Amino acid sequence: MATTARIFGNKRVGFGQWVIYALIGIAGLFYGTPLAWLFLAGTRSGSSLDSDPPFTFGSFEQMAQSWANLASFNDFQILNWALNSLIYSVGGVTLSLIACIPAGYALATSDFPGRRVILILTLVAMITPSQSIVLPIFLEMNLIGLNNTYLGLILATGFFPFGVYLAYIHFSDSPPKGVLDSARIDGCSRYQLFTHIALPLARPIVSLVAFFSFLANWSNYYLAVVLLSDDKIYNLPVGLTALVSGSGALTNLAATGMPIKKPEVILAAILVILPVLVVFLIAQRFVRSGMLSGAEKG
Amino acid sequence: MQFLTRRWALLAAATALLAPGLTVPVIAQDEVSLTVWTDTPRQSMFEEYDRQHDNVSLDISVQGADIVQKIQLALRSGSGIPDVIFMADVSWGAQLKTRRTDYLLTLDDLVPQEVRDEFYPNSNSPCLLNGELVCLRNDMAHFIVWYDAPLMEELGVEVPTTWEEFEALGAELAPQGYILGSGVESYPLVNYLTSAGCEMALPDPEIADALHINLSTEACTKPAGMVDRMLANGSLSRLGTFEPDLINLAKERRIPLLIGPTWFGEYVIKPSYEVPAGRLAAATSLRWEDQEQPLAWSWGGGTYGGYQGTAHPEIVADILMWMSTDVGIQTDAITLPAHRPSSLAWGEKLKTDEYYANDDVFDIQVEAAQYSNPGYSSLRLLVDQAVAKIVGQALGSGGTIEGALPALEAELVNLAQLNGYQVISD
Repeated sequence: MATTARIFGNKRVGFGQWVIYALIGIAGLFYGTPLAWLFLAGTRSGSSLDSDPPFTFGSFEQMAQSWANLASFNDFQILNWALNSLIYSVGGVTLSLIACIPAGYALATSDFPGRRVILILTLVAMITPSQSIVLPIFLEMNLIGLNNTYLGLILATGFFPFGVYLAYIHFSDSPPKGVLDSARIDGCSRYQLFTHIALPLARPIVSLVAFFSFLANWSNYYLAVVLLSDDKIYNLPVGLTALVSGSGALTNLAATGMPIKKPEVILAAILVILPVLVVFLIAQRFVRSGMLSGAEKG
Repeated sequence: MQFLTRRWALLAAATALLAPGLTVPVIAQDEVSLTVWTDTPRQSMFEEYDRQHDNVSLDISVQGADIVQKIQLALRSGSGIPDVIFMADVSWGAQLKTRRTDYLLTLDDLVPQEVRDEFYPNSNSPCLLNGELVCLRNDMAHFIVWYDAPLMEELGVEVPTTWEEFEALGAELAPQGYILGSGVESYPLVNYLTSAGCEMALPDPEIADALHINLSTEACTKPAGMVDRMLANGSLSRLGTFEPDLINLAKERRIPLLIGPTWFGEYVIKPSYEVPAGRLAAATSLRWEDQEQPLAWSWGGGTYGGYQGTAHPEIVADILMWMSTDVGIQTDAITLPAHRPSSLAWGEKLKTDEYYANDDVFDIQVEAAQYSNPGYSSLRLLVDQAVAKIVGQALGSGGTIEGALPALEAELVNLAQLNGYQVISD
């Protein structure tokens, strides 16, 4: 009896569960604290950020003022950057889905010459730091005249080996081999097997790949900063970085005369992460089920 | 003759209609299109140039702090290279004028001497690389004295004119809980350390890519000792200039006087330290008693540069000159223009600004401009970062700045040699 306690009505909770809850609580506190600070800081003035305790709530008026300052910059250029981010993200996600899902399916269900090599290359590409291939991509895009264009960045981000790997894991045991064999006996071609059987059952993995691809595209900084040099086609991370560095808000060279200070920068950071949170909340059911894809296969 | 001219004109028009490709040079003569990379604050100034010049069309793009890397990439690919850039950091000039990154246009023959003479003395030092003028300075940022006039009066103390008086003032006020600013912030620290002429990576005026580095002289040990003593008695803070705890001290009126660059009044003391209107005053840069005049380091000040491979070097030079010397545009500049006539127009608003306790703040900034250290130059190594690293380590382990000078010298020598400089230690 000493190792149990009564909580949540009549449900008994063991010592092990207490430990788990405690660990979850600590982890939530550890990882949630910076986020809580960020959202609270978005309501505070520069003076309050310097002088008040870290988790002070400012005011919605201050938040509105910071938003107005952010919006007043260059005729609300931030909105233009957000729109660009959307274009890059939708384009990148679409392209990566078109490439990843069939590729993962083919690798999982077919045995063709070079399959093993492609699988190994996919894994190698997946673990290769993206920064290491930025320069070759830049030179390649320059060669075909796509530097500093929407299409150039979308094409570059369409390469998503992690998505191929996720799809491969999923299609390795779903749908079951028996279902595919039955459909084949009934006269389905390889293409029909994919479009009529496998794909309709693959919504979780499509969502999962789309989610991770969106995440990578929305927060894409390094590749974008190298490929883009015209501020009219910047995405949000590159545009906001240029704005923040130009404003001196986070550096010691604060003499810029711009209304972009720490509160505006914090609000901009919230602006960048908010769509990811919204997309995650919408897609979490699929993301959760997609995460379990291939779990039985190990 | 007129008939012939008309015939040539008709022929040119017919050619233009029939062969569109041949019309390009004709159009190019009419309007020159140039690419400009700038930071956000200068964007509207370039747009104004574009508006005022019908023959020039500027494609202006705002860039971040990675402009050097992006230009290196553009040079590597041979496309998308900007014709004109604004360099928010003076070190970028040196990084863009190397054997491998030969970007900057030499302006020696493009900017007349009379225009150069209109700049404050030494203001274009960061633009002189191995004797060549490669850019034009936008704004000044030399260190002067900022003080809270009513508080100084209340405390019954005088504004110092020498570093010795500065130290004595600190010793007098520290027991009462007052400080004279940060003693660990890297740029002010470089200002202290170079105030007596310490050779902390100073370019040799005669030898290309050669730096004087010698921190064992009295010119270095004297100011280092002063900062050590002031840190020890608490008159200089161990907090950084922008750290919240120091800002709170400033808000509590615990900083009656500090040494800061010309832009500190408007952009740090007023908005962050929240010193109320009618209190802030300025005094000229400090000198050592054995010096004839002060030697003031700078903290900031951007420059304009052009591309040496541009198809229109004269127009590029015109843009650089217009941006840095046009009195109309510089009157509304954010910080003190390096171009003297522009600065005089710019300074009018300071004279009537009721925020300041006295109406001589601008005159003091102008007077102090002549004391700008010629050693404030554009280098491929970052002296302030070396100072922050070595001094930070020394103070963190209980050491002193004077004791860290040999290590700082070794660090600067290493960095200089790594970046291809010849080091002169004599």
